[in-house]
Amino acid sequence: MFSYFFDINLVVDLIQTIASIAVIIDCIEVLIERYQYTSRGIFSLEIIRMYKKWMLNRYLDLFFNFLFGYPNYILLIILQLVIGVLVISQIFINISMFLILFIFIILLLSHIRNHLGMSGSDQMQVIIFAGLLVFYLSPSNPIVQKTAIFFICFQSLLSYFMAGLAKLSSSAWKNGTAIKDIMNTESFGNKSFAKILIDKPFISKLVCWCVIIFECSFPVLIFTGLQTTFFLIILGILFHLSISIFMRFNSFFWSFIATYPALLYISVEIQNFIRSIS
Amino acid sequence: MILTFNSFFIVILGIWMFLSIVAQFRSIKLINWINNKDPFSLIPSWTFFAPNPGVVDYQILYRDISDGHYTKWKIIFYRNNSIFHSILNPDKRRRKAIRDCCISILQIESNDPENKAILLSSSYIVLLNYIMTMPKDSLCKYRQFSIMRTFGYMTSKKSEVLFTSCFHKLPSD
Repeated sequence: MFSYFFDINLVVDLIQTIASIAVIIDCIEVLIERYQYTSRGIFSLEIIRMYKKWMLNRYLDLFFNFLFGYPNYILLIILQLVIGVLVISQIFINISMFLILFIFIILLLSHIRNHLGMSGSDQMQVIIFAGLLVFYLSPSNPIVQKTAIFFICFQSLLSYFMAGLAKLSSSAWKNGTAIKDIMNTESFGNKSFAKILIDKPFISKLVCWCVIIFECSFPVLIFTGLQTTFFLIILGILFHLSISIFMRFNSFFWSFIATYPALLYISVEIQNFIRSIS
Repeated sequence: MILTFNSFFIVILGIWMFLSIVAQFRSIKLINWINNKDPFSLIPSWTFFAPNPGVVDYQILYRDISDGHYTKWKIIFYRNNSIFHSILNPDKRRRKAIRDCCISILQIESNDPENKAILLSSSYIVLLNYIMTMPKDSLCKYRQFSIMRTFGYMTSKKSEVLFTSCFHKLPSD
């Protein structure tokens, strides 16, 4: 069952496929909201560039104005969408490195242009594609390739652990009001679920502590064996699925699930290492 | 040459991982400096609704002066929340951008309510540009906006207006 995760190439295929789904979804959303990237939208380049240092350099300003203006930026997003589809379809498997490179560059450019409105999901995408790029840039060096996968795994573990620690230091999370209050907001919440949590505060407290324990234990349990890691990943998928359904953080689901094959691969490597020394 | 190339990648990823750990401790001054110099947001800070989760909503309202009279306040709408948004959520970036601008404006204002520099802050200009492009009738000459804090679906707390801008001249058609 776990033999799939012994092959680093299959693991990378899985990571890039899931991460590309996140990219495609984000591209479609930008295309639906393309009006917001015109001079009359919230992401108007004319306004954004007033506060960017690049405008102090004439040539850089000309370059970014060309690249980020409307409709050129939208064309860039369409290009990213097409490349994302190509990565998933594996039609041009020989040039995977270039496809990953293009997605990575467009992700970075989007971060420069739209600093406002970016989220942790976008940051995780940059991390994943950086790791994938390093993997493809060193085709003959297994150490670098494993480091690239470890990098993705590490960032994923760090994200859960630090989020868990931050919640552990929060009275709102420890006394169980955080989930109830978040769910009660229009921005992040869900009216029906909020009603249940308000009516039954013990459920809110239980959910808060489940989230804290899950996030804090994530990096520890990966060392305890494949079965535990697999169980943890099932929990992770359910966790992100519920966030996606109740909080509408759709990209978080795909961006974070994309790191899970790296977790399984590193877990396999750890088990092999332990076996080799014992 | 290839060895150097490979070592370079390992060092880069190593530095990235090290800075990612350090970046979780926001009290370290070096991290603020790095974040200011990081236009690609490469160094993450993972907290996810902690330690202080966002438990309020911010609404943007605007009104005009039309033919010498104030019009009614109008609210900025988003698409209705639905299960479909767990698959595709086009509003999320606009919603987050507006929320971030509101928080930033309110922070500047709470630090120094008399400071007119708020009018030149990026958050204010971004919101103002957005509000000024909302539909208007031909008699409207000036527009102002407000930031209102609301407390969710089920609450006994009343909404609060936390900030009101001055009137700005609407561009002529």
